[in-house]
Amino acid sequence: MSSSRSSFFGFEIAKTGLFINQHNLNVTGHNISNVNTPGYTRQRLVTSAIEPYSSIGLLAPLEHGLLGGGTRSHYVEQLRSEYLDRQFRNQNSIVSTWASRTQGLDFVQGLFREHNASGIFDMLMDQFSAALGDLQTDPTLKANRTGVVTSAQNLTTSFNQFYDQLVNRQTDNNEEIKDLVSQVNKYADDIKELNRLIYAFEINGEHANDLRDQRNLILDQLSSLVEVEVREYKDPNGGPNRLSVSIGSGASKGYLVDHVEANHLDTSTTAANYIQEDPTAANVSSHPLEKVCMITWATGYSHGTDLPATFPANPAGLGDLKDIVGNGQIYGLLTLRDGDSTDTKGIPYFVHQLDQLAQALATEFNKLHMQGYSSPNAENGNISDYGIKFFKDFGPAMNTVPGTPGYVAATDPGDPSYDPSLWDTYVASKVTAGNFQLDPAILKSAWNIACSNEKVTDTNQGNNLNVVDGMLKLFQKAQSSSVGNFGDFYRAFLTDIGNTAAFSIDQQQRNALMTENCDVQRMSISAVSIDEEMTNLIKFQHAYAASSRVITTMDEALEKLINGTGIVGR
Amino acid sequence: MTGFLSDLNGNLQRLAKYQSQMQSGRKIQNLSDDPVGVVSGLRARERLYHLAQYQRNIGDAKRWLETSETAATEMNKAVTNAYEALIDADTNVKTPEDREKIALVVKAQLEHILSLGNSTTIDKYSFGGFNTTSTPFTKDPADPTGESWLYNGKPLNSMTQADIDAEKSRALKFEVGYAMDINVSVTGPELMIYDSSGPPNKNIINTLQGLYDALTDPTISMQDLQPYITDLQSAQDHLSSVVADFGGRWNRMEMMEDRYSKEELLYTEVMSNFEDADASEAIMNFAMAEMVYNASLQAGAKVIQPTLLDYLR
Repeated sequence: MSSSRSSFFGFEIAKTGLFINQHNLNVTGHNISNVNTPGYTRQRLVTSAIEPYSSIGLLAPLEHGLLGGGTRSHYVEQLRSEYLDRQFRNQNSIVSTWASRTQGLDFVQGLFREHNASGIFDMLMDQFSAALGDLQTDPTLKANRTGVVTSAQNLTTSFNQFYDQLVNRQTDNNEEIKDLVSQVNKYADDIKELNRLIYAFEINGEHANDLRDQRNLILDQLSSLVEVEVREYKDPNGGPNRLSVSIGSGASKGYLVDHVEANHLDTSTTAANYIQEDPTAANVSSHPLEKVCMITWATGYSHGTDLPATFPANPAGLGDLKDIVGNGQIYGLLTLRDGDSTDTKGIPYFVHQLDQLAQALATEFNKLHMQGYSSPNAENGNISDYGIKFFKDFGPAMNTVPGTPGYVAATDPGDPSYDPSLWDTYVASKVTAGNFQLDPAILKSAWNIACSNEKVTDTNQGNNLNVVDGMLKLFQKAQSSSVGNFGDFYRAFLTDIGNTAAFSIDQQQRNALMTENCDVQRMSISAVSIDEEMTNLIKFQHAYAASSRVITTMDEALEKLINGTGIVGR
Repeated sequence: MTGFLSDLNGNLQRLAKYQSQMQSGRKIQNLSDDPVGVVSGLRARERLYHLAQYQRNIGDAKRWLETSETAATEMNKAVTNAYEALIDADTNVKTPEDREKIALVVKAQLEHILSLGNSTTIDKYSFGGFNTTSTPFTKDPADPTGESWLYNGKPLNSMTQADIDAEKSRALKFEVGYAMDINVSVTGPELMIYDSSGPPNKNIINTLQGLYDALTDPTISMQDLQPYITDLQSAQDHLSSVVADFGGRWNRMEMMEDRYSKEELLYTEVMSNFEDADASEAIMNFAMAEMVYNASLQAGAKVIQPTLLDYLR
């Protein structure tokens, strides 16, 4: 029997239309409700026409042609492009790297920002040299001596402050890294849990759209912290697709989540702080600084049972940490915390620049100062002495073995056999920006500033030119120390900070633009457009009304047939 | 929408940048804005610091030179007085009383010269070299006649050329330019000793003392005083050249001061070019940024607001 011959078949067709359009209205409503839900992906009801019921063979109806049975729905699908997701997440990792770097470098350049305000480093250097200039014109005035002590103290204090602020910032970065790693671990657990739910939901053939939205949102957020690779793969047991998330790059790349197994990162092991362990300057290592955290895979790393067993290697040292996190906010912070090379300029790099400057100042000033004589005064026991240091030297006690740290020529500079070249090898040891300070002798009495290269007596108040003049010229000579000219070095240091920050800002903006582009493309597919939904609403409303009209029409036809034709059987 | 927001943000940031330029009057707000400009500005500023230092030193140096020059000129006058008295005596001296009067004139000149030798610039001795706090010229306590003088504790009369040179190296110097030092005075021996042959050398003090002694000694005739006339002439020449030297140095300071003030102007301009915001440019930029910002706000408002919803009944 052919169904198309059934009197009520038309009702059935119209009914599917009513149901489907009602369902469509519901889906549209769901979309409109979620227009502002973060991570929500536009949904669509997948429908198809019901093919004609026809039987094969003699019973096939031949006279009326074949008629379909209306419409039916299959499932609600998401409009999402995995390709764009992947692109967005890669870009997001890169832009997050630069964003966190820029933030840190902004702090550094803020520290050294040059305004016409007092207390700026560059001005302090100039004030110090100006005080020396005054001292040179009259070394017998206590005011001139005190001026030198005060301005030198301002200078050393500002070194100390810059150092402290940079070290504090580094400590903050370290804590922030720990927080972000625990955030990664939390995301791992979230994704694992969502994987379980989605798998359970989809095992019936359904699409867990809204749960997937949640998972995608977490993956987006995760991609701003670390570099992620997301893979959806066929369940070897024939179930719905499973999802794995691996993070990092290189040898330490490993699975953060595989289906319902999650691995964690660990920050409990520590490594020596790069500020303390300066590989470039052998004698800068006296900072008692806290160690910084490493990032390793937590013990009990398990990969999913269905994936090839590749156990990732833990990073060997601070320099390998990128292997485990890849690009992302954590890596950006790592470059700031540990960056100590011209390739990766971070806080240790900038601190070491200041260390070098402090050490060069201490070395050159001490070298000259120790060859001069102090002025006798009641404050220093009325002795005109030589070999006094201007800046404190943290090296071993003075010794007379040339070429070794702390070496001091024992010869009296006033002695005829005195050889000034003995001083060439002197280095103020273990001086850093953090411990840069005046020698206790200078702090005790300003009369201990050795201005003269001759012993100071009642009839010889001392040479006003040789020692102080040498110090003054240090500020002007092109090659006055191991770092060249102090002013030039400091200015190059500023340019360095400025350029590093500018580069980071450029990179951030450029990558932000690309990330935005990806996001716009993604949004054009996935985002809910009110206009479109309203159009759909009208479309489905009209279709619903039309389906109702079909029923009315059928009803009228049957009404005529049943109630209006003949009286047989009444 | 995302694009609109980030564009709007960019416009707002530009607006904020120009606004802070106008408020602070400074072009560079962050090192990263213009790393090279910051450094060039700083270099100019450092140069200005040094210039200010040099100018201060030149001021001091001029003060020293002026007082030293005045003292040397006065000294020259005193020597001239003694010389004129002697010439006058050569022709007009008749009586021992006249001769005694001349001796007193010479004595007075000698005392004047000794006090000038110990003259000070503010509270520092001008002619003591490195010794600026204790009297450079003192009587030798070992000499009972009180006629020998010590310079910084060393006998003046027995100084040889080598001694003079050694003292010369202890002259006070001020730095008035990079690697440019200037002696702001002369040392006592340089000032007093006009003939270093000997010993004893010939200096203004022992010449006048000798002249006084000769005048008060009646056994010495006026004819025998002739050598003193030539000695006093060479002393005059010596002091004139010292004064001329001071004058020359003073002129050099003047010239350098002039040059430094011009240089100062130049570097101030350089610094300002790098660091200061051009007010009119900043205002114009601000106005432009403001216009763009307003336009993007308006355009945004037009784009965002209406949806199909607005046109459905």
